[in-house]
Amino acid sequence: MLHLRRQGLGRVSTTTARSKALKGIKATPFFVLLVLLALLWGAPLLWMLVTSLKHEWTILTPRVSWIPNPPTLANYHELIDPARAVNIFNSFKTSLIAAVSYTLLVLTTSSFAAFVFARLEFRGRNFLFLVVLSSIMVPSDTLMVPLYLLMYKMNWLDTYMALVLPGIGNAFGVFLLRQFMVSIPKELQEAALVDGAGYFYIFLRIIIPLSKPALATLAIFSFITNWNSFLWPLIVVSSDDMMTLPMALVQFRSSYASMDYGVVMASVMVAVLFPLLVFFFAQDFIIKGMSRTGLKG
Amino acid sequence: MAQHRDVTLPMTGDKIERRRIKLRTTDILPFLFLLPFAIPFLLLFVWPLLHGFYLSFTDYHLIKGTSNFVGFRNYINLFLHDPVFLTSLKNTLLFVALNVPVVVIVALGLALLLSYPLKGKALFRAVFVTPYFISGAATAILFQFIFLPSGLVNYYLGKLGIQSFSLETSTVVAICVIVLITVWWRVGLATVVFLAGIEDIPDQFYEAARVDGAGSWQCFRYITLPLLRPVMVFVIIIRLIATFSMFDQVYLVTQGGPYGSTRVLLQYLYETAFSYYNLGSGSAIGWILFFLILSFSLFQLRYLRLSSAYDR
Repeated sequence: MLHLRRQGLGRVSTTTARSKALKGIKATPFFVLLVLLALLWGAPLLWMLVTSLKHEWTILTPRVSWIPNPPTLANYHELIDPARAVNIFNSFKTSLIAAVSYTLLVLTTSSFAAFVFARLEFRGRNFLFLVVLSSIMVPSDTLMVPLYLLMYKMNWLDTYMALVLPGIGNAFGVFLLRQFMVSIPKELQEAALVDGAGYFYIFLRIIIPLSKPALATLAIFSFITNWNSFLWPLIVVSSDDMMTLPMALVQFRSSYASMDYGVVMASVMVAVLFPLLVFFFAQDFIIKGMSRTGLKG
Repeated sequence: MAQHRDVTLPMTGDKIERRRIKLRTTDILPFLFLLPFAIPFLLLFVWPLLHGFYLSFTDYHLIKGTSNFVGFRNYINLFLHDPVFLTSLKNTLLFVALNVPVVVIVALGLALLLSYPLKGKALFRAVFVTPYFISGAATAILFQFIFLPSGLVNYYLGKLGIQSFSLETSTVVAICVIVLITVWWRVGLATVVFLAGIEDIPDQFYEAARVDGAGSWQCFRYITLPLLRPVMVFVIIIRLIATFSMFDQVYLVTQGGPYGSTRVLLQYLYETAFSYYNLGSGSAIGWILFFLILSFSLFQLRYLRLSSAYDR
């Protein structure tokens, strides 16, 4: 069965046939253009890295230098300084707790609902699914004011509840997982039923393990979405303790305005490190998930 | 009713009895399984949605403590008596008109380049997708540094003999820079989706066209482009939704300036509701945003259906 699933997932390579079809075309100019564009795209990130490794007095000089001379970790050292007004590592911790809890909750709630819509038949299923599906059309910004009011009335402002809970009611995960679960062969479930297995067993032991690729895709994107979100934390967080990383960056920038861009760039490096690591280690996987779902513009 | 109905089993009296019991349990079972999602869905989506709709017809003010039903007054005030709202609406539409085509065209171009069998393709693709995973705050701070009067961009422009610019003074420059940042930051997703679409086109089409003597432009115009239409509409809708609710890069790079020329709807919603605590009016802006996105998306989908019907 796993073999079958893999075939369904993997894109059949067409490169050889395509190169035949494109034989007449010279690839060199395309290659040169691509290299130039890639340099242009990579330059801002490289500049950030280079600046974060430079000494203060070599940053805003009239001559641009792409090599830190001499390179230094002083900016990163300064980030750890306990006397800092903004504690980047505390924000790192807050963001991590919020993003991990958010991801776990989204995975749990979405997978149960997706299983129901993909594998069970009951009266009203199609209607309910339509209701859930159409909710994807509503942008989260429309809910911002009433959700704030809800958090305010529940006394959840400035707590993890406010950072984690909104978005859990989002139907996107249900839709994504359902699409995947529908394609799992029905015979598996029927065989298990004949053997006397209950639905919970089928869900936990058959459907969930087979849905790992879809679950991982949803996990990665949920995590990154929560980790990177800026506006919502800006609204609900007021204390330094609960400040998330994007908020901390902005705070950090204003306390360092036009003074020490080395430290500011180092703080941005710390903030982008995590998503970039996730991306580089799961690259093929993420690309597959992106092209399949077009998640979150 | 559950799957096991289709399974044919020898029906003894005992089996029938068991099945009836099972059926009864499976009739509630789906709803039990739905609960973990249904509760947050109802509490954190349906209720706020309805409540927000109601709020948009009130003068709810968090500090003043007012909450009277005022009918359409918020909407009327916004459209007839609020120049800041009208400017934000205009700016948002301008960004949609600029951002969406630019991102789509750049993404399509990159995807076409990446679809050629070149060495190191995965590495190139990674370079264009990487910015997509960086937060808006980090992107904004990075570009603000790069666009400083004494920063990287002005240094190279100076070398080309172009006068240095500042984001704080020129409206046109500010708008262009915001579009530029958005393209850099968001093009990855569209590129990947386009690339997948291009790779799904069967090679036989190109081979046949080659045999008939088609050039690469003709291949693009008569094979790639028409077959990419569904992907294209999908990408456009996703970009539309995202651009209508853009915030981070504008709020952090230009603060909506100069002279409010880059203030967008979401920023105005934020200011109305969370700086002036005017939640009723803020809710109304949220609903206007929703209606804008909905009507643009439906228009796109309709256009897709019509045009593909004509093609066949």
